[in-house]
Amino acid sequence: MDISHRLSKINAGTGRHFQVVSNCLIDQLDPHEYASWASLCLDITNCGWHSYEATDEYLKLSQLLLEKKEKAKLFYSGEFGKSLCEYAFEPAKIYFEGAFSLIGYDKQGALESVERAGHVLFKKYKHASTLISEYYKAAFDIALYSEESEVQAWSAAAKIILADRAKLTQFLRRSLASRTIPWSFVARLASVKPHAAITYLEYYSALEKIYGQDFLDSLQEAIVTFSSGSHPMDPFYRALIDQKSTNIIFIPPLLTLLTDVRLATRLINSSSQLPLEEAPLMKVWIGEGMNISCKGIEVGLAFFSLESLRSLDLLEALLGQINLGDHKRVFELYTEGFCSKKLVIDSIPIPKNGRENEELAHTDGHTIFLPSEISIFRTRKENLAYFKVILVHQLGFFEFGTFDSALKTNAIIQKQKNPILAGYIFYLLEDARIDWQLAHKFRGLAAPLESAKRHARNQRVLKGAKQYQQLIETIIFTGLDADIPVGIESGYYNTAQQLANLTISLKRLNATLDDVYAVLKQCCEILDIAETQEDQILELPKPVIFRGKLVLKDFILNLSPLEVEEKLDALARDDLMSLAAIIDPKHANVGELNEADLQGMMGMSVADLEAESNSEKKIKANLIAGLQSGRSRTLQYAEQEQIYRYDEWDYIISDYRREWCVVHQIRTMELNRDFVETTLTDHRDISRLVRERFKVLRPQLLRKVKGTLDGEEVDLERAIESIVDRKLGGTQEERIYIQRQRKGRDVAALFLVDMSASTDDVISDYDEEESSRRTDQKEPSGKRIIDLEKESVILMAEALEDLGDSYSVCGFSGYGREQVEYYLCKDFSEPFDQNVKARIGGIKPRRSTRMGPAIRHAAKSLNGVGSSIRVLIIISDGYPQDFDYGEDRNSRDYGIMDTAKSISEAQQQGIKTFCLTVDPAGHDYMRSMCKDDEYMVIHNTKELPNELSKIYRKLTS
Amino acid sequence: MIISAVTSGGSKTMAQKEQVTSDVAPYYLPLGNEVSLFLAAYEKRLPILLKGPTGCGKTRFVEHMAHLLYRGDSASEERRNVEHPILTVACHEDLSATDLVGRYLLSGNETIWQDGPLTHAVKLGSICYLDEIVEARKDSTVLIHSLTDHRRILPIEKKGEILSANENFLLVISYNPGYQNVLKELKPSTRQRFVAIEFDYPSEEKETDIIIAESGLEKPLAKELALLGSRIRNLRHHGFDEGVSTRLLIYTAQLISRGVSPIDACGAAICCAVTDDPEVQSSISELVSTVFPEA
Repeated sequence: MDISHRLSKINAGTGRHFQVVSNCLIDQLDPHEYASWASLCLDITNCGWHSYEATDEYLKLSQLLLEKKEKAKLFYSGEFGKSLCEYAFEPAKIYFEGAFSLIGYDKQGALESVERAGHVLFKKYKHASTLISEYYKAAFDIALYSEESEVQAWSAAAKIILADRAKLTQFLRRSLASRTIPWSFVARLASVKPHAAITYLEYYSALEKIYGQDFLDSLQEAIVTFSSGSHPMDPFYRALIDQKSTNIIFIPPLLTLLTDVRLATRLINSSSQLPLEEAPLMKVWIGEGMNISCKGIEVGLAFFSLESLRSLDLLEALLGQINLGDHKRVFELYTEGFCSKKLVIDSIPIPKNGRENEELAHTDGHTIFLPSEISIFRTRKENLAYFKVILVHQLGFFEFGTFDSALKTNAIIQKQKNPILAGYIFYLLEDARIDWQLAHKFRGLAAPLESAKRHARNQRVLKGAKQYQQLIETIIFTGLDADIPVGIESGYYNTAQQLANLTISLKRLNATLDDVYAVLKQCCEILDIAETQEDQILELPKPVIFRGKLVLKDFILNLSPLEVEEKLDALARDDLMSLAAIIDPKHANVGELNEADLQGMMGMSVADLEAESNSEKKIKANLIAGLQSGRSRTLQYAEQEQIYRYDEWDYIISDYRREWCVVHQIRTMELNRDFVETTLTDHRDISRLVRERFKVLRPQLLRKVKGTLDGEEVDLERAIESIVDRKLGGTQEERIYIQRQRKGRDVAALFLVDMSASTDDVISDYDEEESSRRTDQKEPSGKRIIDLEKESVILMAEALEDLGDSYSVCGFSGYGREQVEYYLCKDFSEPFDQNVKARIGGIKPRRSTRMGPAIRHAAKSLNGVGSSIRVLIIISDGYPQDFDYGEDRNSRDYGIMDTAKSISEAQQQGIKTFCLTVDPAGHDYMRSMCKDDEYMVIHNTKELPNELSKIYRKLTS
Repeated sequence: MIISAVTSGGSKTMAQKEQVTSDVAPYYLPLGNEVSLFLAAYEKRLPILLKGPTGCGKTRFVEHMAHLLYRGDSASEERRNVEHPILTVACHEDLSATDLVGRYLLSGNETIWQDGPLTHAVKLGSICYLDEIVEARKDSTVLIHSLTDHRRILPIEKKGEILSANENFLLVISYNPGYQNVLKELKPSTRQRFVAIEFDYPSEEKETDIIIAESGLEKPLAKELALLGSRIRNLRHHGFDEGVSTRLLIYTAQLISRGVSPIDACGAAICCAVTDDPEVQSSISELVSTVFPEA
């Protein structure tokens, strides 16, 4: 009672609580035990501030322990609690609470695990009461919800980590993040590296939320392997969290093939572009990646990031993928052969708004746009056949007259009640007719077409389609040689049957466009009735991929005025009006029409036309004007900028980075009309000198000339004839030799001018500096490097005009790999006229110097000329550089190596190259880019024109 | 078909002496009015210039006409007696006037005159067919001038003779404007001495008939071959200016009728034959597999 009284003095509630509990316990403990227990309670309470709160919990626990007949535990836990309480009451209180819960759930084993680790912790951090409290909070939380073995694992992990207090704190806090954490795995990870366990816990709940526990379980082996390495795991987990690709679920077994977490991270980042579900294939690819990673981690990183050529090539080979780029020329030739039209093949442009997710092939009459790659089938052969079917379907529009009557078709469509629907039905019917006609006419296409149709049929689902759509689907299914879809509503079956019969009527041999018009009209009538019966908003079904889309408007816009005129004449006035609807009226302006065109096309002048009010002729003229302006806009765009992609050499991974750089060939640039003339006037002397020097250049083509008075060989026949003549006593022929003579020059030269920002620098010549020093002039002459480059090229151009060599002048600059600018000032075939002169004059300093792609592009255009001697002269003012020319911006090596590679590529193609630089430090890097006799560092920049002409002579003679 | 060699005897040109002895004329399907034109020209002994791409049937046409004129029903007795109705000379860049007219040959310490093919034809009254005349040296083209106008004479400079042409003699030359070098244009003074008959590849229908007649291939396949031929000819500007000739199509047809699969036959006789550019070859292969199904 005394103790109860003393406890009441400290806290009345605790006293009362003790009284209640002791009444229960007194019978179960012998007097000695009771006394010990009571004094333990008092001791705990006396430990310090608020210790009675711990006592309260101990009293609760005591009662439970005795109920459970755990007398020994009663004293053990009391003693331990007391020792905790001596430093702070919270740990003891949490301990007693936790022990109470665990005992209540008969989890004595778990309690012991918690206690054991707790002892070790307490021994080490007696004063860190918050830490100990956190430990018990976490421990009991986990113990309450986990299996005993898991609790043991957690405790074991905690024991491993507790050497580092900061880490332990993180561990304890993160332990509560999820109740499904696999503690045995965490303990295993902690034994590998304590920090690995903490990092794992940090990302566990986020990953679990995204992928679920099973996925994380399957990652365990890989994580252990990666964690044993020396690189941080955070990027790996973050990559997993950020990766939105659905096929990532296939990645765990693949990750076990890797040992370096950096490679694994790249693999995860690339997963959207990888066929992860194809495990055997991926294993081969990863195996190769691991092999080449031995050469250096950069090589591996580029491989797994899908940046190296080797990586992409292997993947494509494995996938059977067909890239348009690899087959572009063959397809273009094929197209030309097939339809005798020179059409450009290009990949489908990426829509600006990004809404259109389907890449559909189409043509505008000049270009056929095809998907950039096909990998839907297993083998390359199948994919190539599919590619061919896509192309041939587009060609079928030309072959079977779809475009010949584009204007008429449009007029017919516009006449229908619902032109949008009619247009769509027309495309469906025409698509079907084209494929049938193709298979009739070209037997070799029947099988690939059938295979493509089968694939398309398998892709189509009728489920969920609205009733009205089902009818449209019927047309599609029939066109794909399938029966009426099974899921069609019974009420619609008869209508569907009618539509199917109409469609199938186009399957016969030699079905024409007129047959399509007839079927179209009937289909529209049937569908119009169906539409009125059911008030549904028209929603068009999914397209059939291999058939692409038919864009008549683009085609019409690309017609030449003569073709338009011809076709317009065939149309009635109403049809003209409906055609006008598809042409943007704001571009249709008679004023834009060239008088000569108009005269030629319509036999009337603009003035006559203005006088006519809304006559048929005026509508026609407006239409032609509209079409023409649309067309000229397209052409102008094409003229302005053309895009080419080039590989880039990465010396670190010793492989090409595929299609890494985008070269924009620009034709529209700033013009300076006076520069050329001024240069030629100012440098009359040098100009004359260069010309004279070139005059002595001997022609290049060696030709065998027979019947000469002297020569390297004797012409046997002539010699015999000469002897015969002598014998006959006639005049003897003396010209009996064969000589090799040079006749004509077959040279193409390309001058590639550096337009980097640094060419804006004013030249500081040694001589100039000397003289300015002598005369105390501070400012040098004020001529910039770019001006000198331009002057040299102009003087060369002038001299080459005399010599008759074919040459081109280009400038390059840009910013970043996606924006390499290539200014085509003068093409080989162009005359050196005012426009060319103005363009060369307009060359001005711009941005970086990414030489590699510019050289590759220059080599490509040189190769297109077909001359026997091809020369590329690069005039620059410094080493190649760009902000992303290599990962390390400060390192010049990447740029130099790539430039060196591009030069050697050009040389392999038979092009003679020469680099001229005005950078005094040029020797340092030029030596590693080209051979000694293939470059020159010009110290006295004024010598540039003179040197250039010498070099040109040397290269071409 | 074309023989040109330096023979040990010293005569550099061997004309091919056509043995037009059979009663059946060599197969030729007229594409237009060329037969009547030729006959009319022959009647007035006007020299004839045949223009057209390789393998389109120029030589066959001359053979056909020679048969008609020398062995046909309307052939005169005199013409029937001509042993070689047609003498073909394949011209090349070393072919000189001497090669055509004839030359003295050394034989021991003597010199012996040997007639050239042109002299031969002029004497005997055959048709002399100079194939690809622009290839020959300029002196040989000038040589024929006097033969091609009203004079119809052949001066033999070396012998100091002037030979009048036999009444039946006719000069026919062929010329292929397609692939010839710009430098090797036929001079107007030469060109304007001839009646020109222009040839091109036949239409798909006619080519089908020709293929059937020459190879015995069944019609559907022949039709497809003709279709293929016309498509491949669309590519003629890509390194093979002549396109695929009717001759090549006939070869292909002959292979097919001997049991070779169409795709293989086209591969051997067309794809590899017309070009060496691998990309052009593969585009032609694609065209082949468009027309013929794979086995």
